[in-house]
Formats: sequence, C-alpha cells, structure tokens
Amino acid sequence: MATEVKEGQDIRNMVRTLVQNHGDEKAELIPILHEINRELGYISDEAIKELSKRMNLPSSHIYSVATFYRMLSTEPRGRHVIQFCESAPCHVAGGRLVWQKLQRELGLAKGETSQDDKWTLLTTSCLGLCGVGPVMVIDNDIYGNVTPEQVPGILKNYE
Amino acid sequence: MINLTIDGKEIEAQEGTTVLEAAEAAGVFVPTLCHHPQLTPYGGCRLCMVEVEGARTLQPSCTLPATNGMVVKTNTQKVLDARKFVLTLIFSERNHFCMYCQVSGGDCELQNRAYDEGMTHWDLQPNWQPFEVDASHPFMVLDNNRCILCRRCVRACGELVGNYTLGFEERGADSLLVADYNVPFGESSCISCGTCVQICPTGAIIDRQSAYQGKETEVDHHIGVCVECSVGCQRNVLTRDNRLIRIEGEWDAVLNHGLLCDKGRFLPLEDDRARLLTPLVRKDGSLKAATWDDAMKAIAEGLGNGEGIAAIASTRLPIEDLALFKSVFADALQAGLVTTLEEGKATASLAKMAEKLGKPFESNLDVLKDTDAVLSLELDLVDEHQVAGFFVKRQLTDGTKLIVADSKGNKLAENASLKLDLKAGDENAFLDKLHKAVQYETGDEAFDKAAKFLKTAEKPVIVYGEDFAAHADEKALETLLEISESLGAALVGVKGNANSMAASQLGLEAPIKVNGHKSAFVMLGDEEPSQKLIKQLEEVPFVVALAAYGSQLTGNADVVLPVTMWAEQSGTYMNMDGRLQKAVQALEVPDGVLTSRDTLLKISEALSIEPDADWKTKVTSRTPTVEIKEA
Repeated sequence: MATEVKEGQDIRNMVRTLVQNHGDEKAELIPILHEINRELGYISDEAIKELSKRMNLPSSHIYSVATFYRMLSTEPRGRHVIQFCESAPCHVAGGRLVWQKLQRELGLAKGETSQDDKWTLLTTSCLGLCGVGPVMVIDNDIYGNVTPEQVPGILKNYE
Repeated sequence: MINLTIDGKEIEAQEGTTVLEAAEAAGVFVPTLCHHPQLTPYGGCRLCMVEVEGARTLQPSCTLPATNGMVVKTNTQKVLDARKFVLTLIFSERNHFCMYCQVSGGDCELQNRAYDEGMTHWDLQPNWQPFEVDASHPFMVLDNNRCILCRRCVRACGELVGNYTLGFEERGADSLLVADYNVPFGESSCISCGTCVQICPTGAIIDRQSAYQGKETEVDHHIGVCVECSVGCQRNVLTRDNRLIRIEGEWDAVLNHGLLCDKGRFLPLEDDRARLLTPLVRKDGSLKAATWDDAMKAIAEGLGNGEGIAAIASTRLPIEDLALFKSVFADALQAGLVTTLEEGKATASLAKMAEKLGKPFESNLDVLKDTDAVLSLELDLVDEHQVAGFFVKRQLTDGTKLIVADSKGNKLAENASLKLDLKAGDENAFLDKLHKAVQYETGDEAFDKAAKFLKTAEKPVIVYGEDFAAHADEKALETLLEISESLGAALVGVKGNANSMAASQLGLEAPIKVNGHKSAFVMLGDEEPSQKLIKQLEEVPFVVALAAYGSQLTGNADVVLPVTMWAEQSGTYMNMDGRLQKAVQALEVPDGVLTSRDTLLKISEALSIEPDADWKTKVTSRTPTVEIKEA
C-alpha cells in the first residue's frame, strides 16, 4: 500500500500538486487526504502543515478530519494494512476465532505495525458485507467467509 | 414577531430566535452544557431537550428555531428523564469523580446541572480508561479525563479568537481534545488568550495560576477596564484576601464580549518586579529610605519651576491622574516639557488632522468585527492590541481579505491574503501608489490586487497603528483620507497604551527632548521605563520618580515615591475609539504607598500650588480623532 518514504520537500511538492489538481475548496479536503494517505501510507505532520498553508485551513481542523476517518491514518503504517470487521454480524459468524488466529499468526495486537513494516493490523466497523462474514480487507482486497484455517494461506499472498 | 407557548406561558419572540433563547427571555430555565451565548448553537450535549407539540421526538432547544404557534414544554416527565439520562451518559463516559476536581463545589457546570436535577449518583458503570494530562502549557492544564466533548473551547478558539489551535482527535468515545496536529499544548500555536479555560464548563482545561485558590463564590469580583492597551476590554479581576487570583473577560461587555489576551489575563499575575513600599531620598550619593515628609521637603528644594522642569507621565495612568499632572506641571509650574512616556507617537499626527478637519474621522473598533476587507498599515495585531486582531482573524475563514502593509516581521501577515511592502518613512509614496491603484489599473500587480480587494468589498476597513501614526505627515494623512473616502472605507486608529488617546486629548504628546533641564519628574505608575528614557535622564541633575516597582530609573533618581500599581487604583480610561470606561480598584493600597493622584496632591501642597482636578472638560475640549463616548 505504502510506497517509498518521502520527506520534506517531496511531501510539500506532492501536497502542492494535489491542491492544484483538486482546487482549494474546503470540500476537496477529504479527497486530498485520501490521496496523501495512498501515496505516503499515512498523513504526516509535514503534509498537514503544508496542506494547512495551501488550503487556508487550520491544521487542527485537518488533523481532526484525518483522525476521524478510519481509512485515513496519521501514523505510519505497514506495507499491507489488514482491516478486520469488528461489528456484530461478523462476530456472530465466528469472527472472534479468525481475529485470534490473525493476531497469533502476525504476532500483532490491534493497531500495531510489525517491526519489518510489512503488516499493520486494524479493526474496522461494518463494511456492509455482512452476508459473507467474517470479513477482512487487506489493502484493497476483500476476503469473505474467512475461517481461521484460511488465514495463513491468505497472508502468504502478500510480499 | 412570532408567538409561541412555553410551559403554558404566551411568549412573543423575534423571528430567528431559538426556543432556548425564547425560553430564557420568558424566564424559563432550560439546562445547557455545550451551549454558550457567545458561540454558534451546536446541539452537542442534548441536555436542553424539550417537548414540542407535534414533534415525534424530544428536540434540542438550543438549535431549534422558534416558530409561530409552537407549543413547548420544558418540564414534563419525559424531558426530566431525558436530562437525567443525558447527564448519566456524560458522567459515565470519563473520570467525573467530583471530589478530586478543581472546579467541584460550584464552578463546574456539569456538577451544577446534576444537582439541579437532584442527582446523587448515576446508574451506569463508569469508564475507567485514563487519559494523559497535558501540563506542558505555562498557563493552562489540559485534562481530557474531565472533558465532556462539548467543544466549547474548540469553537471559542476558532469562532471567537480565530486562532484554531484546539481541535478534536478521533471520534466517539476515543475523542480527545488536542492542539494543532496533536502537539503538546505548550508547544502549539496557542497564543495564551485563555478563552478556552474561561469557557470550559468542567475541569478539562484548568488555569494553573488560580487552581485550587478559590471558587467563584469565595472570591471578590472587580469588573472594570483592562489597562494593558488601548483596546479597552472589560475584565473581571478576582481577588481573595487581598490577593490576585485570576482575571476573566466579561462575557457581557459590548466591545470584547469575554475575550482577553495573555497580557490582560495571565501576565499581570506573573509580575515579579521588586515592589517599592517606602519613599527614597538620595543622601550623600545613595538612596535612603525616608518619610513622605522628608521626600516632600527634598522635592520642594530640588524641583524648582519653569522651563527647567521636564515632566513625563505614563499613559497607563487614569485620566484623573494625567489631567492633574498637566494642571500641576503645565499650568502651575510652567514646566518646559510636559508629556508622556509615549510622546504622542500613536496620536499626535492624527490629532492634528482631526483639529484641521474640525471633526472626528475615525470609526469605532466595532467595524473590525464585520468587514470583508482589511488593510493594515504598519501594525501587528497579533503582537499588540490582540483582541482587535481576534476580530479580524476570526473572519478570515469566511473570505474576509486581509492586506498587510509592513516591512517588519509581522505575525498578522502570516494570515494575510496579500502582503505589501511598506517601509517606515515611505508612507507618502506608498499611499500615493495605492491612491492611484484605487482610481485606475496601475500595472503594479500587488497594488492593483489590493485596490481590487478593497473596492469590491462592501465594508472595507483601513487600520493603522503607532508606527504609521509616528511616520505619517499631513500629506500622507490627507491621501489616506482621500483613499478612505473614495473606497467608503472606515478608518481605525489603534493607539498606544490604555490612556493614549486621553493623553492626546490633554495635549500631552510632545517628544521627549532633554535639553539642559534642571529637574525631571517622572510619573511611571507601574510602567517599565525604556532604556532610552533612562539614558536621557542621566544628564538631568535632579530626578523625581513616582513608581510602583524598582527599576534602573528609580535607582538613578534622587527622590523615589512609592505609588500604586494598576490593581490598587481606580480611575477613568479612554480607549482607542473614545469610550470612557472605569478601572476599578481590586486590591488594598499597601501601607506607605499612595496613588499617583494623591501623590500629586501632596506635592502640590508642599509646593503651595492649587491644581485644578477637573478632567472631563479638559479631555473633551479638543477635537478628537474619533467621537468620545460615555460608556
């Protein structure tokens, strides 16, 4: 998901280009944050500062928006982000066992990123795929009807 | 007008009022927490729920517009149950164990509302999760454990102050009050105006200086004008046992509606200068403690009279003191120099222009609260006269254009839509260029853009400060007046200290030129003398200083008289838009100390002169730059 680490000037240039492409209307904030998140893997302080300047929005405001949505992150994440549904329908369908297997397999707890920066393990609220619960999403790939036994095989698909 | 019924009472209300406002006007109490009269209605806490006939569910009265024929009930069982439920949810959300809290026992709105509802406990299991306390700020402590997520502070920081430091991280139960992009409060963009601590309904933001020192009911309140600058904010000085506890902005004040800056709120309590409590007279080369009588004798012997005296007063002193000072030194003693520490820098050129026009030409400060384009000339409203700066800054996100013309480091310029270069001494050329740009396209991109902002604005304002007034000559001011006339722009002159304009009205605005003066009389009050003044007075053989605090100037003086500081005296102040406001005494005068006014009277007696104590006619007899108003 995340590409190579960018810093300083690169981030500022990226933000500038994004604001040029999207325009500096307040309504463009979320689409721009999405793109930054996709490019960097997260939304850095540097990016917020630059965005605040370019869009004439207080950085506190941008930070509030960036932390409000689960699909955005203000912390660096691993190359692959796993989002496991924590809502009731997936839970009832056996989600707890899958979640436990995931944590064991990765050696990570909720919200953690592996030391080799490969994985970030998150939970998410309902993804609207309750018909095929338990559900998890890795990067942009959706997995339904997941059983604990399938977990190692799924994880192997990612480098 | 619309008619509605609240709890059986027939009420007439203005269209556009909310149900809450209508209820309050009719004397019906509806409890609130997230609501604050100075903020836009928010509807966050749901405590103000009322029953509205015809509505399926309970409605939040703070955001619900009153409509004609509406029937509202605020005290049905359904409403009372809902209130208790809302309070229960809030109490169980975080650490609201009152006995450990600074504001408990009267100052907490959450606790007070619970008592109103007769609550002795709540039925839900509390959330035991602790949050980190942020104590990195010099004046405030931010404690998310006490936060009820009402967002009053966040809204005040943005809506009222225009600083947008505070915000919320995450959502729901994870919501945390943070500064900027979650940096320590003390390292954030906070300007320490303290509006958040004043508006917080619980103990989530605590004032370090006054924490645990006295609740609202245990302190004495002294409401009067702030004397830190010429904006003239109304503030409430809280004392207990003759000790300063805290300073708060007056929410009901027409001008500042509760706002203060760090200089008006926090810094006066940080003053650690050495206090003078006894007269000092120089004997055999060194200053020695003396009686008032000895000091008077020394003054009678050393001061002399006529051209040889240089008399200088602080513009932080009340008008009464300044008028008496003028009467003693200009009228009775015919001193060669009678002026203020400010030397009329912020006022002299403008006062002359008003006299020439024969009428005021400046507008009230209020125009800054509702403008769509501001041109600021050589003035940093972030650094000084901050509350006037808040008026401007908070409108910038609504599209108000700010043009900052300066050449020095100007913090207001960080928020500017356009920056123009204006160097001290270049006022004439600058204004000529702007005047042209207002009339036609000059080809100078920046000036044309500035002119366009101002011309397309409906309520443009041109605001200028001391640096501009000190450098602008008559021609520059005439051009400024022409520009303002052709744009329909209001002019606002930001003066210097609290009584800068009054000093100007009294004609106390000569530059300080010490030139063979035999004696000097410096009425400092609690003002810190400048290095420049200290240097200038070194060559004067006999110096009398009236001061609350010791300084290099008092150390060099021949007679030092201990006088009151701001909190120990009362008097009248004329702010930058001509409002006459009272400062009130909050602390007792220490033994052995006199007010500057009484000291002047004592000296008059020693010199056998009879000064004229009248100030009202004196201060209004000169044509002012802005209309003078009794507050």
